[in-house]
Amino acid sequence: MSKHPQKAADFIANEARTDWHDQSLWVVREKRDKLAKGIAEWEELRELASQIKDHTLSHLDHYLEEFEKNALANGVQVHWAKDAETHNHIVHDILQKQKVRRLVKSKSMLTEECGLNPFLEKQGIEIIDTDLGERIIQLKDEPPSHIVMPAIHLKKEEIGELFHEKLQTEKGATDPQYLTEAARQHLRSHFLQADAALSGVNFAVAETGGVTVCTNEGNADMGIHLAPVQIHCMGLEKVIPRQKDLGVFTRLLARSATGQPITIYTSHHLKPKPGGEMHIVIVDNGRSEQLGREDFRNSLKCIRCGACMNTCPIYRRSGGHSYDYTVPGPIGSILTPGKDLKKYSDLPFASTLCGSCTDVCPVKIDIHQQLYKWRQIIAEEGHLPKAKAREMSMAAKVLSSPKAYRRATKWMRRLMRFLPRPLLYLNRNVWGKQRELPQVPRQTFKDWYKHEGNES
Amino acid sequence: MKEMKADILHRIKQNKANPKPLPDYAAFGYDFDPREKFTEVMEAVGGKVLHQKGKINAAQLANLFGEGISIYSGVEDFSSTLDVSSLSPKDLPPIEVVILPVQLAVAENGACYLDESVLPHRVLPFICQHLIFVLEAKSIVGNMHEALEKIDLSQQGFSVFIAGPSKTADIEQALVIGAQGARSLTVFIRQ
Repeated sequence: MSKHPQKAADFIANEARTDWHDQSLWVVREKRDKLAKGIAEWEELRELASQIKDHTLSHLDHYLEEFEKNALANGVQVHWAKDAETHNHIVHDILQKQKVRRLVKSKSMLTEECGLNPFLEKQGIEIIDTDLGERIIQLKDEPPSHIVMPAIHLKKEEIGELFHEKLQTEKGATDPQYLTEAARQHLRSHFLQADAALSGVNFAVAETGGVTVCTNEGNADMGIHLAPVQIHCMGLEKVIPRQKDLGVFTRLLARSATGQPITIYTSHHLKPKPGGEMHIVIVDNGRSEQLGREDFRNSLKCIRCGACMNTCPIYRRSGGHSYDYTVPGPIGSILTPGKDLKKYSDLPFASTLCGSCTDVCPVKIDIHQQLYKWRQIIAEEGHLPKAKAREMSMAAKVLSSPKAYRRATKWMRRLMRFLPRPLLYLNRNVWGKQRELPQVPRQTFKDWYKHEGNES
Repeated sequence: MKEMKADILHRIKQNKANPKPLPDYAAFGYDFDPREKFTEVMEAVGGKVLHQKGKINAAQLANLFGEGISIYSGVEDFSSTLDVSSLSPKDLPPIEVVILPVQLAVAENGACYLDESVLPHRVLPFICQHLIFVLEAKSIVGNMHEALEKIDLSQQGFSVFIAGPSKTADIEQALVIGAQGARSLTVFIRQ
């Protein structure tokens, strides 16, 4: 059994918890629906967002250069990183030049992707993640399980226990209000001590050279405005052409993500603060390669809202950690095979192909179709597990010949009616592990048609 | 460094799709009263909206936050209790209430826009315990498209839309108001 099925099986073993996880995310999905329905032009906005992204990706070099030119004119220092390692070194160099010992970070999936925290910790720099969910998992020494709600997999009792141990909260305290207050006090002391702050980027506007950061907690701004050095790390697909386009994207982002009309803070950072310095790191790390894959370049339109995760029947019941990648769920499953086909060959199969992800995607990425296309590539390249490959090739033979199909169904009907259960549900029957085989009809449609059909 | 950039841009040039057009679009209309909608949305996210006829006075603030609070005021109605211009940003935590004029507000989502020109320190609206916005009723627009037509982000080094008190739902999706930023937001709308 490959990774995702195994990890998902471990997750599902605790049924009550699986149901709770499933429900938590479904509530978010329902909130999203309510907000989306509140806007008459919702579908038009999705179409516009999709077209703006398509246009930008087809002129990406132009917009990145325009963005850089305007950012430089604003007094910002711009850096380019071809991969994760380079990104980490660039950030480290900036910190070293300013003799930074303490860094506060707001949420950035890109730095997770690049493994920045462990890298900087090795260099002796203290990093504090300041988004509450991120801080929780940092203290717990776990990766995020969701890109918008990093600690969605944890119960308040576990967080209470963790805070009791790390932040000296009352033993047994589980009230979210009380725990959040404790984190607020703890994080405020870190904001005041930090020498530098790092944030992710939601949108980089080519026209102004500024970056827009969307948060609810206020932690990104607390960090950025208190520290003399501010660093913003962005994947190169984050650029959008004009200020005006922020209107389309800010209307879609929070509604899709959490069912809010907009995030509490939508901050536009264009120039360094008086006496401070501002850096922007533009990161490739496989994105330009993905741009060249015609079938999959659409995945670069993603604005990281997480809506596809909240609606996905697999994600909801297997948890984010089962995907073993920074960006889990449907979108993660189409981004990862491009990074390492062999390693992530199980992820495109972690889907029912129901298409719900595609329905809710605010930038209209054809997620389920891309999952299907990756499956074909994975099969062609020979990365299918043996049992699956065997079943698939047998099925292909049977389904491609009417004669073989008729013979097979005839025998299947007999066998399924007479074979005792233990034999039918042998280990070889992978399908039957979690499912009941279908009821066998007494006669085939073809037979029925021969006897009953009106051949006029 | 230069090589790295050239390398990335070269790969993009080779790999990008055929040109697709940039859509043009006008601001979408709306069928609500902007002032009513703003109040409804702001209250739904835990903000407070008060309609103000004359100047805001000390008694009103004492009523909201108690006596003897430290205030930074960015409006002419009354003066600050301490001089923040002589402080560094890291000396600001004692400030309990910050009052700021808002250039513009958006009805569809409660977002209030302000830029650096009203901020002696960029961190002021985030580091205070309670935030107060003062808004002219005529500055409420319908939606984000309209807002972004009216403002110019490139005028200032920093600007922000703030759409309520800071909040989080990171612990079991339970909504908690007052995460890392302001614990409350009160908007005074002047007719």
